[in-house]
Amino acid sequence: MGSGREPRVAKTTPQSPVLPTGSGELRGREAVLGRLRERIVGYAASRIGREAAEDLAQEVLIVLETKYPQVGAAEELAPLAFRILRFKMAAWRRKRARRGEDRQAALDDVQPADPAPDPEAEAEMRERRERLRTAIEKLSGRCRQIFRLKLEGKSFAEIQREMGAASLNTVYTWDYRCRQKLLALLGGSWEAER
Amino acid sequence: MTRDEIRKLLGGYATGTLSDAERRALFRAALEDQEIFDALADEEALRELFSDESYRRELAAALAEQRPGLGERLAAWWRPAPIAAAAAFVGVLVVGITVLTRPPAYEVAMRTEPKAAVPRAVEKAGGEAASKGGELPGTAVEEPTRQPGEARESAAERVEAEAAAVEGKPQRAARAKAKVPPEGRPAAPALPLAPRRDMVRAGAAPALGTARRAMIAEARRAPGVIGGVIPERGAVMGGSAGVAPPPAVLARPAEVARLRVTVQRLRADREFEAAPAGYRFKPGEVVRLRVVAPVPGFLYVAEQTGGSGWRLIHSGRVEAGQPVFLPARGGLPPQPEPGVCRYRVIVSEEALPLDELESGEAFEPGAAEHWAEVTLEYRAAGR
Repeated sequence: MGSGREPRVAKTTPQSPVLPTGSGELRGREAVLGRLRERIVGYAASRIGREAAEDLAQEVLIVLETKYPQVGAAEELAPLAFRILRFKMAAWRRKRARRGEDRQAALDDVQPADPAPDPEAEAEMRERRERLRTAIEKLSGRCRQIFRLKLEGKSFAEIQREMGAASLNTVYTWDYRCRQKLLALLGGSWEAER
Repeated sequence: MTRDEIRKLLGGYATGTLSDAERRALFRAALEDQEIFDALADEEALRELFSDESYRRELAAALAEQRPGLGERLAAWWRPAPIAAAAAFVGVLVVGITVLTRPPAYEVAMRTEPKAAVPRAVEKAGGEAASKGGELPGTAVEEPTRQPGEARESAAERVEAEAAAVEGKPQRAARAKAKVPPEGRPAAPALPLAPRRDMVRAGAAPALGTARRAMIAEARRAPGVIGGVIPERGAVMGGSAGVAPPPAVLARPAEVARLRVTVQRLRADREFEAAPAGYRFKPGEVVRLRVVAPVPGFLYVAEQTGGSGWRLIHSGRVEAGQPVFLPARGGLPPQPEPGVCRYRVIVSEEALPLDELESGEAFEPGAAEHWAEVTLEYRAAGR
């Protein structure tokens, strides 16, 4: 087990910790990581630019390698990757906002890490919560019911039973439409565009 | 599962609604399909919000409250209808009685067009007045020469002039004469125009739109202090070229507390002290800002260096009267070269749109905000 904890990224080059596999069923952690890297680069490039995307993907993979070496399944690695990716992107945006590209010393580098909650992040989170609450309260009828049941932790199958839907697919469709409505109320994005 | 079916599973990710099989299908599809991956990555923002259990409960409780249905809303809309109908009926009745009980001359005036009715009415009353040796009423209703800026008459005043002429009351007609409009000129509306809604913003304007910028620009041209806040000299003491906010007059009581911004420099003993007046900063010197907000709300600080645009460096909650240090630990990134560095501090009682602030294009304070600006000049030693 000891060797299992060893970061596998060390065996590959820093630019490409794992090699992407071809299409089809993904076997093994490295294959999943390779595919994840491709997707992360694709996503980040569309949001923050190609140059930063490569670095960001690399940082996400390093965290996955060093902190979660025991996780191998795609359905476990992918949500972890989404979470890390989000933190990394938020940090990247804040960093860019706090300092100019021409400035060498970042605010984060100058001061020691503050263990207290970041007031900026807190304010941002509060703003996002309020925005979502305002939008979600505008929903009506079935959409309110679906969202309420989902927030109460019900599965789609339980929602189907509770709402008396003919099939699970019907619930998926209702949910999809309600999300589209909510998204429209939020102006087309779950969070304000930066 | 087809791609469309997989997409429908996206809705279950943020709320943790998916079963193991659904999760597996969704994430495997995300690895194969960039579009689904992107959608899931965007969904992470929502999942983050829903991961707070208390917030989830709060939202679920809000959703549990029944929104009034269409029937109820219609009923609510119709509820005042009988009252409105009764009021309308009474209004019609009053108008009807008023019209019916008016003297006949009034009726004549009402029937005629202003342009033609006045001479006719004058003609009718003129003979009568002339026979009494009075001034011909026709002179009283002559087209007055309207001076520029003269108030226009109302329809009621015009009717009064015509009625006076018809009744043979030259003095009254003469009094009303000046109010008669030139031929063909439309009568002014009886009610004042309502202010344009698009020019009015209620409360503290959170958006930094064109109207707001125009308002700020307008305010800057006028004397006074923007937002009613007088930035203390302390706000600029730290900089040798401190610049107070441009003067302006905006509606805020003079007695309102002030926003206080002080520049502090790091001494050799690693303690911060307020930079004395006229102090010249050396490149690389560590400074921080001390801000005391006059009201509770949100604090935003932007930085401008080397002629670049404003860049947001801080945003967060702030309490009234409690000093906030920026940054909380250590100092601001030191300015490595001689030059000027400006900081703009805004305290707003309402949250401002971060996306606009972060874009750096519009870091302009609004009328409802307290703000101050600090300019630090860095000069190389011996200059």
